[in-house]
Amino acid sequence: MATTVQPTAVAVPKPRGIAKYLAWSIDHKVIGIQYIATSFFFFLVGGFLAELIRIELLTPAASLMVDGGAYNTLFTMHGTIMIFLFVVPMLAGFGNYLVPLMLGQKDMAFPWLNAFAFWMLPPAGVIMLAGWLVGPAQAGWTSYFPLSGPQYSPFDGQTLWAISLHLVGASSILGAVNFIVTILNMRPPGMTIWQMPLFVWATLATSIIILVATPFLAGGLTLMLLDRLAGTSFFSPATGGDPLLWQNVFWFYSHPAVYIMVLPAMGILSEVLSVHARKPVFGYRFIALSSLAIGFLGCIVWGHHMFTSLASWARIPFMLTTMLIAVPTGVKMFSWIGTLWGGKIRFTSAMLFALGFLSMFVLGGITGVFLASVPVDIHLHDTYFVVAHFHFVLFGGSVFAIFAGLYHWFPKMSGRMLNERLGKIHFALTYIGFFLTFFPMHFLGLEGMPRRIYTYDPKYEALNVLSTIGALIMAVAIVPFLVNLAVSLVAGKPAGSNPWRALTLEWMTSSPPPDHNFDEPPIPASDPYGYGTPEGAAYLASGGKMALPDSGGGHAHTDQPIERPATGD
Amino acid sequence: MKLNRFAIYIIVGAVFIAIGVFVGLTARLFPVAASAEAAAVDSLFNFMLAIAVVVFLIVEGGIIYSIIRFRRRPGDETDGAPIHGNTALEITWTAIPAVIVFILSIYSYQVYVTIRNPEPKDNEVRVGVIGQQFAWKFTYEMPEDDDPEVTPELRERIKQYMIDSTLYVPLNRPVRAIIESQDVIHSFYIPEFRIKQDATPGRVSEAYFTPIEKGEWWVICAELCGVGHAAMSQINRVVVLEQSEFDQYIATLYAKAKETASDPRSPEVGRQLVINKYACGACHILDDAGLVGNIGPSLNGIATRAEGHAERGEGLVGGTDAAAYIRGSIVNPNLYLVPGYAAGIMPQNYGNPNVMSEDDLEAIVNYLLTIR
Repeated sequence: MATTVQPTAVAVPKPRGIAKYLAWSIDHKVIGIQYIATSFFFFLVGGFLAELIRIELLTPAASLMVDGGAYNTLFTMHGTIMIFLFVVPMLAGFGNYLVPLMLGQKDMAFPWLNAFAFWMLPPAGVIMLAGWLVGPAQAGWTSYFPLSGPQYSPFDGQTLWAISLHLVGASSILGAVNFIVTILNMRPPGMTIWQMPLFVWATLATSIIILVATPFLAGGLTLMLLDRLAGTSFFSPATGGDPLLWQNVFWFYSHPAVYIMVLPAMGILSEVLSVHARKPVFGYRFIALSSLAIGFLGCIVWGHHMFTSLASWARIPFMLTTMLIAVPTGVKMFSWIGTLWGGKIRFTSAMLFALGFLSMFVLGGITGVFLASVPVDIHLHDTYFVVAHFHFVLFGGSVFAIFAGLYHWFPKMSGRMLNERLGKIHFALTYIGFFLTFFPMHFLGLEGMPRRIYTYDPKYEALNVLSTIGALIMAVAIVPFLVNLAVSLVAGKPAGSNPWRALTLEWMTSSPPPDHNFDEPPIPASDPYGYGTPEGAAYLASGGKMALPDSGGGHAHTDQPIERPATGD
Repeated sequence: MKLNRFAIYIIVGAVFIAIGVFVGLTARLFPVAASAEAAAVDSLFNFMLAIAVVVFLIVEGGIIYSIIRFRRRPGDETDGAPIHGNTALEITWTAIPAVIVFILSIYSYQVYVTIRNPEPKDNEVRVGVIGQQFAWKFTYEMPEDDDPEVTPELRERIKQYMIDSTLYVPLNRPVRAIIESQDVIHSFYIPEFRIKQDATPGRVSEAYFTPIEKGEWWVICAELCGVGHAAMSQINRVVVLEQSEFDQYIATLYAKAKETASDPRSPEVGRQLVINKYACGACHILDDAGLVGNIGPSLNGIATRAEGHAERGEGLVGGTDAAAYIRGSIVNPNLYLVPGYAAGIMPQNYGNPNVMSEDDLEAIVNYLLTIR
């Protein structure tokens, strides 16, 4: 009885319409959309920087950039913005919007904390961009010492970079605590942990990783700030520090960060594939457990980012753990194909992006195994092969899933459908542009072209031209999506509560849902992916009102906090 | 009927494996293999590539087959078959990748053990590799010298001039590169040898390779090191020589070093230092020495400009003349900044005598005073 999800003091009238999204709100749906809109803005900023990078690389000589410093700033900000201000908060936005709805709740466990976590992001973004006013960071998103130290990066932008990431990290930790508490304690009666939607599973696994890894980012950034501002020397070799300490701490966070950016995307994928193929998710438990396995393994592989700097004996154990990650990742890939197999696939825009993920992410996974092998990685480390690899994971994976999720849940969020024709144009251009941009980079890396250079050996020119053409196609691709968003928001076809005839709880209320989400506590389907079963059909027909015969199983959870045993004193 | 489908799977699988084997046997995606170690890495890579191609074809084939075979037909509003899983199948596709990565790990470990070669060999050549912003430089061991006039002290002095901006290595002999950095992290990378090793300041690391092909390639910096990082990959060459040519090169380098050591502050010594030991051409233009860098200001006509700065009292160290301006520009580059160039780009540690000796500094100043 101690906590309640209701705000305690509400005297001010609630803002309506757009204003609602510009103001402080503790409604998880408003916060979710705030996250999504903010991070989408940064996607456009980061994308613009990427286009500048590709235009510079069109020719082997310097063309756009005044010097290497300007170019170093471009990819530093592109990487940092895309990771910390786009993918991570975008997926947190999906989590915020969807998790309480999928659990049939009216809000997250800690609504105020939720709002607080979001409102750390806009200042983080402003501080990051403010770098351009004072001399921006240019040591790469990895900011290796001593290059990022006070001697070699005397400009204040590097300090702002660290402060901004501190805020993003803190926001991420607070969000993770909220998700874990919500998911473990607020499942509705009739939903055991083995009946949770897979997106909720993925969010749970992600939140655990965030809680384990992100404090290391905070620790590393604190030491960086001390080195830069207070004259300490944790990382500076000239005065007894160790540059490899930064690499260890940084990658102990930043490798798991890859899974922070990929697991929720995989969760989105499981939802979208099942609904639009009209077929149960194949191997539910294997998919759920593989998220946890990836989360665990993801925390013990960081050394593979240091295969050219670690002592040679230390490279072997990291090779083994890294190779192992291919196993649970493979399980997911095969299970998703199993989900398609025998389905009735509907080629909606959401489904197309999900299929785009499937067909592109596999390449990122395969190239990851090459990079796990120490002898092969020694040749490929810090070349364009690595750039290709992580873009197939993070763009071919996460970004495709994010678009799939936007097309899938936009009707729920706005109450209106997106235009399917524009969606398909968006998909086709993105898919072609993506492949053309990043596939040639594999061959550049195999030939030995190092990354992070703005002038290059002319023998690499032809593939770079292809890559730049691809990037320009992607720039065009975003236009139909922006038009679609703007037009559909005001004139889209009304969505109704469940346009995809899905079984998860977020579809068992109106679109958009009322402030309190559900008029009466919803009863979850016994199988959230029971497509093709009589129970599933009956559940859909009843609009989620019908309790199913076998839905009472498992331990019932309520939205009450865990009861603490009374203490003696 | 059921047997038929099984036969089709077998045939498709066999075709995929055949394609994988073909690609693995024929693909040449790496640059020329110029070291003995490269062959082992290349075989490992192509073995992985063959497996990767098969996995890729199975997954993409599965996706493409599904979207064609299981697409919704117009008017069909029914759901797919409610198949929730197949435990045997799921265990299979967990176990097979596990076995594959287990094999790859063992194979990779074996290759790694053979190429890293930590034990010193009798016939190995040792070269020093030093990374600086924004060039590599290479130091060589001195040959024997029975000249009675060469005292141990003189030999110490000669040693510091056994340095060059090109890496010369003999054919068919193992080379042990001892890698250090003078400032930030660089990464010593020669794609044709398949070696890469970070040069981390404060640490000494090593790389091993045995050149088996005569030729000339770039020595690349693979780790971001600052504004001149891109330029650093197109400055230094590695040249593989016959043993006799290599001996000749070392003898010549030694003779020159010996001469330099006898008159260490002469302008001609300064010119050699600017070209080789300090790699000023990474950033500066200087026609007299053939320097073509474009990161820092041009050094053409520097002596004339230095007189003007001396009159205005700008950036002087250790005096009030033109020499003091040049000296100041080297040991404390931020003291006076040429308009259009930012602070902190030039290395800040040339004032440290362990990085640039007093002799070297004066030789360079004396040389630059001749550039009008």
